[in-house]
Amino acid sequence: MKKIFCKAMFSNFEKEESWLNEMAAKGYNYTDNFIFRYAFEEGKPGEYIYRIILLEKHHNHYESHKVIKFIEETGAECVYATMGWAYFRKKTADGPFEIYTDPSAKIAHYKRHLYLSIVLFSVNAFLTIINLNLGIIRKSPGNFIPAILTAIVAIILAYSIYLYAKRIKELKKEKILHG
Amino acid sequence: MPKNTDKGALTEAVYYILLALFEPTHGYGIIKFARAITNNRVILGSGTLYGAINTLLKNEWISIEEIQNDSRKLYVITDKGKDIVDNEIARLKELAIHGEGVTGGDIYEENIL
Repeated sequence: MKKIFCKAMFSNFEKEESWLNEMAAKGYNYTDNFIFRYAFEEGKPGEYIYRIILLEKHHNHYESHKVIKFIEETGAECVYATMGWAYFRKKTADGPFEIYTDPSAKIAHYKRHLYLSIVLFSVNAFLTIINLNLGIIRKSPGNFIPAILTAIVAIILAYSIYLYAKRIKELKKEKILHG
Repeated sequence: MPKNTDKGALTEAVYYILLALFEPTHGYGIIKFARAITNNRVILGSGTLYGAINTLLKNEWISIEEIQNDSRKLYVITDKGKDIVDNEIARLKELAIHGEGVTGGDIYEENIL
């Protein structure tokens, strides 16, 4: 089967997930990725629905193996797992495919994304401040470029934190009404 | 899984999982049961189901009946779980009686039959 590669970068897993589903709708089925380089296999358009989850532990952890195995036993296929991420797909013909369907599990999943984004934001914000300080105090102009780059990443992550926090707030409201 | 079991009410997911397990069933069987009996209204996500099963096992409302050759686990409801379901059915009946008492209508006959 013919393979194609696409470069892409996402700060939000829902955007990544919809992109993979758009590609699948065109007949390009995601198989794996290496950092920002995504690999796809040519197939039938609309054959699969993709879902991405962030596991509680690293994907090689015993607990994660159990979760992945359980999800696979319900007719889905774990296409790829990296760090704490797992990419699943299921045949569109087999009906709707959602991994988390109740507000509590959805909130717990969004919270994992939120915390990860907060950690990554803090690292980038810290690097921005260090580089700015080095640039200004030590008068070393070479530090401004990394300062700008990490600042951009920090801003993107801050937006992502806002989106996740908003989702969690909406789900908490839903939980009050529907349990 | 929501912790509103403390108040006596079960979530829909837990209720249908317990009903499904009156017959020993594996995870996918539970999802199919809930879909079939509710005419596709209740669709349990596998991640949601995984979390719920672990909590139900801890509470001893369900237990592992056997591990099949393909290493899939068959779960079954326990006596404790059956009591919980009986209580829930009684609670749901009470809710329906109160509701109909106030609205005066028999919603079930009007809308579904």
